[in-house]
Amino acid sequence: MSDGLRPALQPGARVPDLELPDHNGSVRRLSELVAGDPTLLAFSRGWWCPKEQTFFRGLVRLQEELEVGYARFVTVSVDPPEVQAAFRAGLGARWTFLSDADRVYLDALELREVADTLHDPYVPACATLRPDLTVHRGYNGYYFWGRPTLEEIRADFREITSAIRSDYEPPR
Amino acid sequence: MTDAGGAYLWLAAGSFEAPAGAIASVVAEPLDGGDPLRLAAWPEHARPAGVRVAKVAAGFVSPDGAPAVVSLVLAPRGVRVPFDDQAVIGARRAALTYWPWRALSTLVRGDSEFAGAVSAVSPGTPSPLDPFARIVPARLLAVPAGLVGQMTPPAGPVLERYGSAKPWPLDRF
Repeated sequence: MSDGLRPALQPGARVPDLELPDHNGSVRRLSELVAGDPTLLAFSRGWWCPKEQTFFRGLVRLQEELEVGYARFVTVSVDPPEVQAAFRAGLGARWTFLSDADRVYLDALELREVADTLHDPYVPACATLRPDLTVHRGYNGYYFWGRPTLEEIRADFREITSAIRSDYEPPR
Repeated sequence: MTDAGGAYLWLAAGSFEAPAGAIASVVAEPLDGGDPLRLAAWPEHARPAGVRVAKVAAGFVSPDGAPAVVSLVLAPRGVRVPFDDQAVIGARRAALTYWPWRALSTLVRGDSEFAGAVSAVSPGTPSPLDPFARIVPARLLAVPAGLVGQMTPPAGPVLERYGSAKPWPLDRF
């Protein structure tokens, strides 16, 4: 059975170094936002989707762990920056939301949700990334249960962290 | 525009003579009408003697920087707040929630002492509430060109410092 993952989000694939405005309207690069830390990159349909609202409320519950765990979240959707900012504020999220309102990367990543001709959004999909933007594990979120659970995110961050931190084993 | 990850500098704020070896030095006017205040910064490897300094994120300082209005939070002598005190953590969270500044850095003394914070907006921009002013009262300063740079906001949500002794929001090891 296919996992429904696009090639760009298969383990080992390298995500492009996205260059998009953030929720404040400042242009950011994905590599700058990742900056050496394990990162969950979440492509989102948009603020209006109840499944996204539920999923992101879950991520907000995890963000206190990320505060101390040297790991990051980055969200991408086609919502304009001011809508991203409002959604982010309403959630209480403290990570960066990137706006692809011009749909620059939608087709390059094969993540256009063709069934939604009204919003023309991203297919919900996530990937945990290593600092060099290679995919550790991808998640097809077209159905809600395909998204990563909080435990799966924790496990991915543990695996990536133990691989990238030279002092993961404490010095003797 | 400089980013938040990387090195730190030494920053001093007070009444002292123009310092040798500083990469930036200006005289700022407090908006509350008090005496002028000198702000100066030195490289990490060239900590000055005889001046009370704290670590600041390198991106906050630029010798080519434009004028700014700076909110200066400086813990007075004898006030020792751990950098990981919940009040300081809360202020960092508040800063991440809404980041309207041109540049912002906490100040660190030693490895783990919260020495204050500096946050800057361009003149004519409404001055946002300084979350670090909940810990120690802030002073607003009119800072001329030659000190304050421009920083990209941290990606969030990490609040921890990357290794001891670094001022948040330096955001990498």
